[in-house]
Amino acid sequence: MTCKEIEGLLPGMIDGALPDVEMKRIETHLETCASCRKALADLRMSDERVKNLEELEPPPWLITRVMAQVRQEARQKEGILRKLFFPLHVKVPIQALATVLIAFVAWNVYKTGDPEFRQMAPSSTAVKEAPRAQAPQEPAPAAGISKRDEIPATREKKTFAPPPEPGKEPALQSAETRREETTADAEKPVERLRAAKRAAEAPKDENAWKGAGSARTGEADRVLEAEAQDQKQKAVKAPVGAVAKEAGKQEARPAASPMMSAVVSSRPELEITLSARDAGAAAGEVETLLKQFSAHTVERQALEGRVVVLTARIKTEHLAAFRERLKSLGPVQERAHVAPRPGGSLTIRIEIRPE
Amino acid sequence: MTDDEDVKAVLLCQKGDSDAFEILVERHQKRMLNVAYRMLGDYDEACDVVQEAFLAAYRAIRSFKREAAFSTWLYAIVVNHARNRIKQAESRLSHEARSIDDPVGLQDGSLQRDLPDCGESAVERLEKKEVEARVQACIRTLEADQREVLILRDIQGFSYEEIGGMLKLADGTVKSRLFRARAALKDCLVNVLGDWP
Repeated sequence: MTCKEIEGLLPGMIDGALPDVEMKRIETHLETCASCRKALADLRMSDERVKNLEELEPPPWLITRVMAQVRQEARQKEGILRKLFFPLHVKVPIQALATVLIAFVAWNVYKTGDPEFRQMAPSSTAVKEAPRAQAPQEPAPAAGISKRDEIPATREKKTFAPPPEPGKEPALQSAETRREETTADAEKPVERLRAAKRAAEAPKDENAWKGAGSARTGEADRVLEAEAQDQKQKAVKAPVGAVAKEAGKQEARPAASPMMSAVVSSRPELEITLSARDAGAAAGEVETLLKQFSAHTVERQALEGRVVVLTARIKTEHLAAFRERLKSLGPVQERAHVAPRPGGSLTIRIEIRPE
Repeated sequence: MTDDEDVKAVLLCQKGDSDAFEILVERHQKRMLNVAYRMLGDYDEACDVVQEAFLAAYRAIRSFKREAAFSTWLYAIVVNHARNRIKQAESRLSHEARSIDDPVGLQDGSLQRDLPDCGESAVERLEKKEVEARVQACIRTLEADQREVLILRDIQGFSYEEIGGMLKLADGTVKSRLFRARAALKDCLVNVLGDWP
């Protein structure tokens, strides 16, 4: 082993990093080589100098600065989290998720429930059928009527929707709007019923007022004519579609209270047509007769061509006598849809036409 | 300094307790500073590097797996940062070539010439700090890879295995680099300080 090779291994002698075999060979060499011994001594002294280097103390501000940076870093991370989860950390995403879920469920219910909503809404066929059943030319079978009479008031009301407001084209009303109205109506049957009852009272009062003014003054006739004209205009304005058809066909509906007419006078069990020279005067007399026979819910409606329609509920026991008195006013035609029940009352519709 | 204490603090940090990191800084700052200083030779720069290393360690602490000791992982970071700093400085001063034969310069410029080979009398005149400064200057003349190993082994006392873990080197590579570093340092110190007193 040469001195050069030994010098390459001598640094390993410092901390005993060499294998024992190498150590022994080096030690053997060192016994005879002064220069290598000197090299090893220098190495050991160098190592001693290095190991004795004084350790530097960190400045007191080092930990402060490091921790300031660390805390700033932590705040930035926290800040990002807060932006995402503000103000309630984990709850906001949960709330957002819940909102989305509710919206989805609501949309799903709306979509899946659409056929049911349509079923509840007034269908065009139902609207078409209603006036037909009411029309005198097409008497519906008695069984059919009695079956319809069993339908709850709310459903019936939906069938007879109110005519459109003057100046507002019903055709412009979207199907959505009509559906919403119908749904809202279905949700408030009690209110609707009360409203109908209130409306039913209105024409009665109106008739009473008219009757009090000696029944047939020129002013009253003008009012009746104006009402008839108004009805005509409505019928003309009514567009195609379910509502329009209904408005056009339901001539017998009272102008002041269409809902009431749907409830009270839409199903007359007996229809009577009276021909008189002066339909207005005859109508006044018929009204007097009805009062004499204790009829109630008397309605009066003036139609086009000075035709007056009276609708009322009368007891079955008074019906025969009422007929006889009516015949004294002029020729009478009758059409019964339902056989009168003894001891009960029935709805009659008296149409007074000028001869 | 036990690894268990490190592990507890590290676990707290990983759970988001940034204050627990202060324990780790307190425990390791001195040794990290000395490693950085011995590598860089500049106290202020060493402080900067230590700060950077600690911050980098904090950012990466969630990725720390307990496959190795935390100290090994931490010192590897500071060595890397110091190494990068040296590379940056070298790229700035690339025109200034250094070799072991060049005169050793100190930070304060107090040593700009070869010391005369004046034996004991010269050593006696030098203050302890001056000797240390010359030792530090000699350390800085070492090749970077040799210097790292020498600092970690002979100054900081890490085992060969730990150094291998920090620098991702095999034991044999660590030893060979260390032997060359010791020989080079000895030559430099003999050149600078002359015969040992």
